[in-house]
Amino acid sequence: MTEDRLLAQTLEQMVHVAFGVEKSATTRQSAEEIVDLLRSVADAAVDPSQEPFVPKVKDGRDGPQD
Amino acid sequence: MSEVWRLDLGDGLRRLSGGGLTAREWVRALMTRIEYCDHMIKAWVALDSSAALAAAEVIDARRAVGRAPGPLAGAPIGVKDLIAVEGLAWEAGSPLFTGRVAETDAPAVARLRAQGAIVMGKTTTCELGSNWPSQTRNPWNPTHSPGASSSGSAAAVAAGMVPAALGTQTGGSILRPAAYCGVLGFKPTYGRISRSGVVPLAWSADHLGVLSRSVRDAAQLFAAMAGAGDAECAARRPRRVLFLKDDFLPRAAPEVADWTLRAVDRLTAAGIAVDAGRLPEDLDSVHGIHRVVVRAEAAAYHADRFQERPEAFGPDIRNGIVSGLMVPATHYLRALRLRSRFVRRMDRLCDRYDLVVAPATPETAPLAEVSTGSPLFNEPCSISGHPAITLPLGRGDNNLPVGIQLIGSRDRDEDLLAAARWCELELGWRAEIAEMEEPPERKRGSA
Repeated sequence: MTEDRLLAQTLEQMVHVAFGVEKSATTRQSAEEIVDLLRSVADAAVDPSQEPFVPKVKDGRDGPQD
Repeated sequence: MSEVWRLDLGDGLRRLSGGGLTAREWVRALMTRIEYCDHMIKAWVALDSSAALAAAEVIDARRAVGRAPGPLAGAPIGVKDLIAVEGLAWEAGSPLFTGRVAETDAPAVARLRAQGAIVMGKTTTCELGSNWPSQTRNPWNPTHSPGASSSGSAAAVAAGMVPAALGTQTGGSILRPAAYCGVLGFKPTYGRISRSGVVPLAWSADHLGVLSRSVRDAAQLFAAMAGAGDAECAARRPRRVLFLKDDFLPRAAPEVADWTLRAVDRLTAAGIAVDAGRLPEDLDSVHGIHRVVVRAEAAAYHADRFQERPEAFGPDIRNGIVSGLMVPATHYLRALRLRSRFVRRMDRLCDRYDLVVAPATPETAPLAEVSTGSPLFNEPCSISGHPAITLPLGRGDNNLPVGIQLIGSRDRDEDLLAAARWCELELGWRAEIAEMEEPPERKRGSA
């Protein structure tokens, strides 16, 4: 079993237990897709001192969302 | 008078103020146009003809005594069904909200109405702002998709059912439908227009913007909603342009690549210095950041409803939520760190140029049953918050429009609009109306 496949199964099990989402072909597909995306984020070099992005709105122009 | 429905917002407002047209006549002409073609396009989920006519009559009466309520007095608009309009359905394309009616206007809508705009009705959205196909079809070729998720707004403007409409974008939901439908799409800088009263998809990437048939109209609506800006939008020729060739062209269909190269040649022929370059981060990396952030935030917003009624979520939004629930917090934060770096680098890049250009979409509109197309080319500005505009270049195979994407510096939306206005006027990158022939069987049936 590849590392990615194992990660996908782990994530699927996590949402099954934590959120009550039933396992299905759809959740397996979601897991496989998100593993690719997580890999792309994890592989990118980033300075750990970099502040995470926080959306800022100049002059308080935006109101809160729904 | 029978062609009144063809007027764009600026021309219509000029005729209103000159006394050659009444708001009631304009609204009635658009209602007739909607009746003629919406059974083919299905761009509207709620129409309020009597309220629109009543509002028009009030405006006409006030104008008659010299008290028109503002610069948009009598301007008919459509509003995407993710956005609240008092007294109209606010269902967001989801069975979760069937029967819901908004009790108040979203602030952006309230600002437009305060200046005299008339809401004709609510336009179709894909479910909760996702990419799953809605009922709406592309007016240029109804077997094809109008894009997602502001599909109704783009199609209604392209078909001449309304001169302008509001849309929202989290991935590519303004720019892509605008490109597919051959109209102008404007996604302002993140936060310039309030998103209060808008059903969120991902709060840090949701934008509210405009679909219209001219840059000037988009500028006027933007100025009203943002509470500032240059409503006149004088054209300004860009001096230095960056063409994002290396990231986008290899991923574009040959037809789109050809149109884009010809557009860049026209900029060069106009004496503008055009550099070829690329995004400050790899497009795949930007896509990864965008998807991780948007899915995590969408999952966080919908988690409770999803646990209660999972069956009420369609396949696309369901996949987004389930995969978002799987994003570890460490990866979400890592994506946000990468996003900060991308935003900073995009700021530096955009500040060196008057305009950054790229194809608006990887391909022209796909078949409606297959997909609503890819938001890939629009994700960089959705995740960075930079303002972007789609302008139509022309129509290619299968009569389907091709668009170009213009990107500007954050919080300099007015400069971007001025450069886009110059391209519209001098290079002819302007919207046309899809004429819409009725199917022969319907013509025979109605004879």
